[in-house]
Amino acid sequence: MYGYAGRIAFIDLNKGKISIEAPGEGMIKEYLGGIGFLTRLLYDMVPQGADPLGPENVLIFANGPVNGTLVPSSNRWMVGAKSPATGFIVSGNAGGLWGAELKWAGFDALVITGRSANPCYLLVRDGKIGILPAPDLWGKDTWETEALLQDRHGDPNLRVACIGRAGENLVPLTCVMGEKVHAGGRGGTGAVMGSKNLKAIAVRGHGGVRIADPETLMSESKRLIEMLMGEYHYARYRNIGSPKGTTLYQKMGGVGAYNWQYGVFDKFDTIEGDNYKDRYSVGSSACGCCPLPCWRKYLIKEGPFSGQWTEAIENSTVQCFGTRVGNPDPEVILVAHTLCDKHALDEISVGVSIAFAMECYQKGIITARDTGGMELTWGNGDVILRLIDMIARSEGIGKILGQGVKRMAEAFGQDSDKFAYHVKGLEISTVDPRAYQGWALGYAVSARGADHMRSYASWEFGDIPEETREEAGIPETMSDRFSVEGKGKGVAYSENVRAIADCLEMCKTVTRQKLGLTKNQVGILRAVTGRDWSKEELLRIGERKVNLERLFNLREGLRPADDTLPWRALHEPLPDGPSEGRVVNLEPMLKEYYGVRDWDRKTGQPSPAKLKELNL
Amino acid sequence: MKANILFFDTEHCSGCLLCEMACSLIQKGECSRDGSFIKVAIHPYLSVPTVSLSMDCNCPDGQERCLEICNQQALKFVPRDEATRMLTEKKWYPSPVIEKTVERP
Repeated sequence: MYGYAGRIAFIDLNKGKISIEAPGEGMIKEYLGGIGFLTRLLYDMVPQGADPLGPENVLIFANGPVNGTLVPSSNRWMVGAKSPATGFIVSGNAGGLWGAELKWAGFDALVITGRSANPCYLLVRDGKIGILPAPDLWGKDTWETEALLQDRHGDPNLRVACIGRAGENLVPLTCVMGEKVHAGGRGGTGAVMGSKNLKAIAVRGHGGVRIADPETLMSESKRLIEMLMGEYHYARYRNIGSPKGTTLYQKMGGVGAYNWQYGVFDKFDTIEGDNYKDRYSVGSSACGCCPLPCWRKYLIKEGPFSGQWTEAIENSTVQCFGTRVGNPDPEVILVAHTLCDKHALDEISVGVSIAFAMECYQKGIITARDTGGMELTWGNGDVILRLIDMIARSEGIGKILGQGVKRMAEAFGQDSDKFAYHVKGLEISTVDPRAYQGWALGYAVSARGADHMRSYASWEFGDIPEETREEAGIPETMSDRFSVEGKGKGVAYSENVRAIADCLEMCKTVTRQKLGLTKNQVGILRAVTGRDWSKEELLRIGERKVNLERLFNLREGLRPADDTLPWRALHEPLPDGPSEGRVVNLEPMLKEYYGVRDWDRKTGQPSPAKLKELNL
Repeated sequence: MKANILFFDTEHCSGCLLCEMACSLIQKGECSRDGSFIKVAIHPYLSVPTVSLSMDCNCPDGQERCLEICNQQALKFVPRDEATRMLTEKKWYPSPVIEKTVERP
């Protein structure tokens, strides 16, 4: 089989049994791979009402048809389950080389059910899978776990995806961490892994991915790489990495300072993106098969954190441990990031939870009596780092912070839910929704809860190639951040194309502009797999994935009223900066979005005609 | 063994493995690490790459597919009589040469 490994492993931890099946032709044609396979399998296998932390939940890891090949950025992998944070479907996406290694080891996906009686790990090597005891790994952080497993199996190229203490303690704010620094983030997949007593999945493959048309793949890959290098975001990511993105949000007045009380952070200069490159960077790396080395490595050379090694901070890192919590110290941001990596915590949700607690403290909703004597003052670096550790260990006030802001607001009361920045129980990730209307809609309708990467409608920031606009039929108002017109259509289109990238398992940063156009994907897909998908069929696959996630969530009790935003975003105008006076005008965008999706505004259900059209 | 000597740029090689993928793709019709004649070893803790070349490499000089795909321009094949001069350039490092893996008489 070209492209695909042709094997999905079903691992039953209750019985310790493993079976292998080939993905069916219908599955390949209609779901492509990656998040497509994952969503279909979760929909089919997770019983309605399943306890997310019970053995009946299903944990799936998947790669895509172009993983482990020359296709630019073909390294991503997906982990998903029913979320303990939201109660809905969730999946997180990570880079590195783990996903490609899984393909070289002979698997398109791992489907894990049940619960092991004792801590265990999976060793996936050259077509074989072993369930091995892991009592000595339990309690170790992600960096220690990877090193121990590489030592044990005598292989420095063993790729390890694992959980830290937070996942073991079933904290909903967890993720699965691949190769120390690549987070399959959001929604508590780490806690699901912990609930299964599964510490790690170590992968190594000496095999290869058979390619249908090698010379065409070579020429198409070169063409796409050249195209990527001509796009404006390439140089920014190449030189500074993702942290520079925060500068744009600051300039536009949407940086979510002090738990989203302000659009501009008054102490921004010291945490601006250039600082990390100029003061701490010791080089950059790329994920596997990726021509864009955006993953920078940092070393703090002096001061209280001297010797601290940190990798791959993101735009969201700078916000969550900088602007959000009122912290002007870039070194606290670097240390907080690595702490989250080692505990396999979702740093976005952790940062928002700490910021929310700080605003509650500011308002007197909680006091030092609730915090064990800690002063939750803005920008208090010691407190930020201590709280991260307490969240991972589920200790003291960390126990409630680890539940996320929705549950914190329920516990704290006193109208604190008005400024609890979450959607469906998942914390809002990047720019303040009041500064970008379409981005706000993306948060509101995302199946996994508030997150920017599901729609990733980056053309609202101005990077909208004319051909993208034409292909989607998006009006020019899409790039007007305060307009609501056309945002429903733009976000729906955007969700569909981002879903294709997640099915292929290509990076959504790399594919954010022209590489995300289906006309640039059909050629490489044909060259790798020898199969034909038309541009329209690819878009239909993306749309099918979005609708199937919807059906999963409706089955779990989702209502249209859940497609909303926090009270503050809808009712409290931003008090400062270039977005001053703005709130989100959600309803007209939702109306347009539901119309484009052909979903019933009252029930949230896709129409029978839409389901038939998508063969659902 | 190739007449020209492979140097890699320690500052710009990102460890992306596109060179390995291109080599194995053209040599074997599949993308794999084991099938490539150019080898990128990435340090498991520091994520720093080192590039080496197998004596199996049979690409004619000037037509190396690894070179063609490397968009960071981190690879350079240098004629032997110019190679010693390259040693004075700090960021360029000569790739170690690995013994042949194919069957020998």
